[in-house]
Amino acid sequence: MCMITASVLPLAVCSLFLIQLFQMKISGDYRVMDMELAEEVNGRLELLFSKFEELTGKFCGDGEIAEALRQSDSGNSGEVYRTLYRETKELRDYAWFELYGMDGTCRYSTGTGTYQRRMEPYWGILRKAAEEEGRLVVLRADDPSGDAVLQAARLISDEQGNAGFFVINMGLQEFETALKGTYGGQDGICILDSFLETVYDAGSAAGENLGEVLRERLLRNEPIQADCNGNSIYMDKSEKTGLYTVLLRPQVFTANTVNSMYSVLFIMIAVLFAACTLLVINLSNRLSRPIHVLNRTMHEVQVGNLDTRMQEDWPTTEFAEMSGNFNFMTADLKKYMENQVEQQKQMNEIQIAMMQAQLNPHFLYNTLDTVKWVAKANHVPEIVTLVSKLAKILRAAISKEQFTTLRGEMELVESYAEIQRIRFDGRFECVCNYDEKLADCELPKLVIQPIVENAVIHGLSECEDGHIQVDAFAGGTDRDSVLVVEVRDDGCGIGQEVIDRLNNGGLQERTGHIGLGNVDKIIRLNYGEAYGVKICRPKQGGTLVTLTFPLRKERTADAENTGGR
Amino acid sequence: MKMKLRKRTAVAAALSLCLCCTACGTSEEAVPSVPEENKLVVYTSHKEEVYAPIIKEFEERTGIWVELHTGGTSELLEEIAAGNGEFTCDIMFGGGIESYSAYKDCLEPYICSRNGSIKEQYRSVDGSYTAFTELPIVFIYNNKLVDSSQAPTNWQELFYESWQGNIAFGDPQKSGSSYTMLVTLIQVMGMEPEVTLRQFARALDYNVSAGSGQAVEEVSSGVRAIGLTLEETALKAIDNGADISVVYPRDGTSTLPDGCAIVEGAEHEENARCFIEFIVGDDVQQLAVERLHRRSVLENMQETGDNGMKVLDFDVEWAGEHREEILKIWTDIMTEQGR
Repeated sequence: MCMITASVLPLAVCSLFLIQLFQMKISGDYRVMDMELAEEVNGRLELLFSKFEELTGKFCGDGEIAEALRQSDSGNSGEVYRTLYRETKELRDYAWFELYGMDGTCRYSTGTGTYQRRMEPYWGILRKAAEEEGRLVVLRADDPSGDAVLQAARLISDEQGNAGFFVINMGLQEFETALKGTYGGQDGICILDSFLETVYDAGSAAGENLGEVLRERLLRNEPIQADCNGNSIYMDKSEKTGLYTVLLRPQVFTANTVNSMYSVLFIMIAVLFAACTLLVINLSNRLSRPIHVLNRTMHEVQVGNLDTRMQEDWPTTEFAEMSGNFNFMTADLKKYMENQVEQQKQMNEIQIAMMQAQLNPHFLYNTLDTVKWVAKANHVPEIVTLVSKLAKILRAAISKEQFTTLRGEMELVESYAEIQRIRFDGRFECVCNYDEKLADCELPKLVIQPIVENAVIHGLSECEDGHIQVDAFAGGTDRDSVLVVEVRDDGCGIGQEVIDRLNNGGLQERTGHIGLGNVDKIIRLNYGEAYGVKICRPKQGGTLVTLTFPLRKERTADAENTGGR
Repeated sequence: MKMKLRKRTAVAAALSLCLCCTACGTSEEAVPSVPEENKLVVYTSHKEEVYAPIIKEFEERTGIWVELHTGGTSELLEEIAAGNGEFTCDIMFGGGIESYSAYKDCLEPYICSRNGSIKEQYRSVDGSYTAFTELPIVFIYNNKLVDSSQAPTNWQELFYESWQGNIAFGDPQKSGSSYTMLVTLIQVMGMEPEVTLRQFARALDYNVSAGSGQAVEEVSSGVRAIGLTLEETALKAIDNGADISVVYPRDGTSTLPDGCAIVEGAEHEENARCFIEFIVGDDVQQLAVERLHRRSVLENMQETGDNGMKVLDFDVEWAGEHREEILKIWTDIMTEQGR
């Protein structure tokens, strides 16, 4: 969302600025143009009135005219009319001209049907003309019965005093002629008197009743030149006549134009917004979908489904690589797990084999005990020895403990050797040597005995005077990390193929018997591949079987629980 | 978020700057301005042809800008009394002086400097109003339908058989001047009001015109032969070419005086006084006579019409007090017969 805003906002701001600037500039330009136009209209009226002034100047000091106006009859009317028509020839399109007596009666007129018309000399334009002697005064006409909308008057006087008034009348027609061509079809023009009452309006100004609007604004102290119904207002005042020229021009920027500009802007922003949204969705798809898939796959793996694989054909190289690595890792993990399971299985098989190898121990013990007492009663010490040694071995063999100490194992070996020595009639001798310091070292039970058994049965079977020596000592690089147990005999020596098979890890014994191969396997499963059984044939003859264990003191009960693997 | 906020402030600042610039672009040359002390708010119930030249001349002479509001007399006075008009009114111009008495409380007493020159019956005693002009009630007849020798010359003649149903008369319910005519009739006949009204209704054949203006039209167009109206209306019609004549009743007529008064607490009281002095001045009074066909309230003003007109001492107070009663009798008679 932030991203979209960030991409759309600058455009919006820039465009708003541009529209505003554009509007300001164009409006400003038009304003100057329109003001010039208003001035031009005003200038034209001023020019007209300066001509009127010039004209009235000729009449107001004319003694003959003054005389004619003083006479009640129109004896010299022809001469007066000739002068009037001659002088006003060029201006008659813009006004009609009248001469009034001091009593306010119209005596001469270039207009039609105004003869004998009366204007109140104490009122309006005539009063003002009399008051402002010698000046051309201009006033909005207030008599609704006349055609004139604007009147200008000047007092006519000579040495004998005031004689009458020269009155100039402008009607709507005359204004139209005077202002023709100054304003366009869409414009409005409005001439207001000094109290902002409408004298003349044309074009759009006529419909707006502009004079009233402006007057009301002025009286209410509102900005008088504010726009009016989508039109700009320009005012100019004529110093000569006191009239205001008001020009009404349609606004360059009507609400419509501005609105359409804003709509275009809005559409542009909308398009940009849509494009940005699409881009963001696409981008987030490229980034978040692989992550999502990865997460899902990881969860699958977590619940144990190691066969799950992730798709690797992502468009992004990083994700493709990551997925590859993940799949590789899962495959590895699976292989490792399978290994573990396989190991456990083998372990179980061995344990089962061991169990099968056990007889009902109580029955055995009882029988052996009976044998021992019978032998004692009959004074056969060999049988007593045999039976008590056998019972010892048996106890060790069927004990639930998987591990024993070096001492225990060595005693077991000695017991076994004792039995075998009686059996084989003393044809061999077995010596066990170990440092007392190592007596408490821990090792799996019944791992040395099978080796010794092997040496007795296979190595010394043919010999008359064999020796078996069992040595235990600390070994390894720092002399105390590895417990080494060597079983040496000087018998016929072991066959090469057995050595090979054992060293290749493929030595299989008959079931129900814990032989060399199984010893090796037990050690390896317990302690890892670094340990185990090695067989070699020393040069001096016989067989040397070397067992290696990690050098550990007897483990505590706690360690036993956790350290099964 | 912080960034966004900063951006928004920047935009707002920029936009306001733009607006500022456009606002400053308007030049204020050639624009007039009116200080408050040069204003005057006038409520008027006069017709435009009456107030327009007077207001214009007043502005021209004094330089005071007049803000004008037009309407019916009672409507405007009611607005002044309630003080709920859109603008505070300074002065009320127009309407019969009897209406002013009723609203005395919200009018500022002012006795103009020319009070002494005003005809005695219109002089203001307590200053609650200043009379402007008077409008006499006259008879009119159609020149084509009625010979001048046959035309009615007094109120009694209106009851002649020959005029029955031929008299144009405005509805007194709508026209104040028609009511004044009824009361004048009652006063002249000197009989029980109801008897007079009954007789007059029969003379009208129970027909009334919409207003006193329409009465003139009916006479000039020949719908009715004679009529009752105000002198002003009749003279204006004649000016506009209506072929009718005016008769001032020999046994006298009454006049409707109209007035002008300053509103209590007027914001532009000085200008309002100025306005009252102006309208009772010679120039306006003369214009009222010459151009507006009204009669001046000034003692010495030369009249254009019949100066020998006999004016009855019209009992304004009685007319005001019995207005409802008289109108009810009249309406009853009219509806009774209309059935």
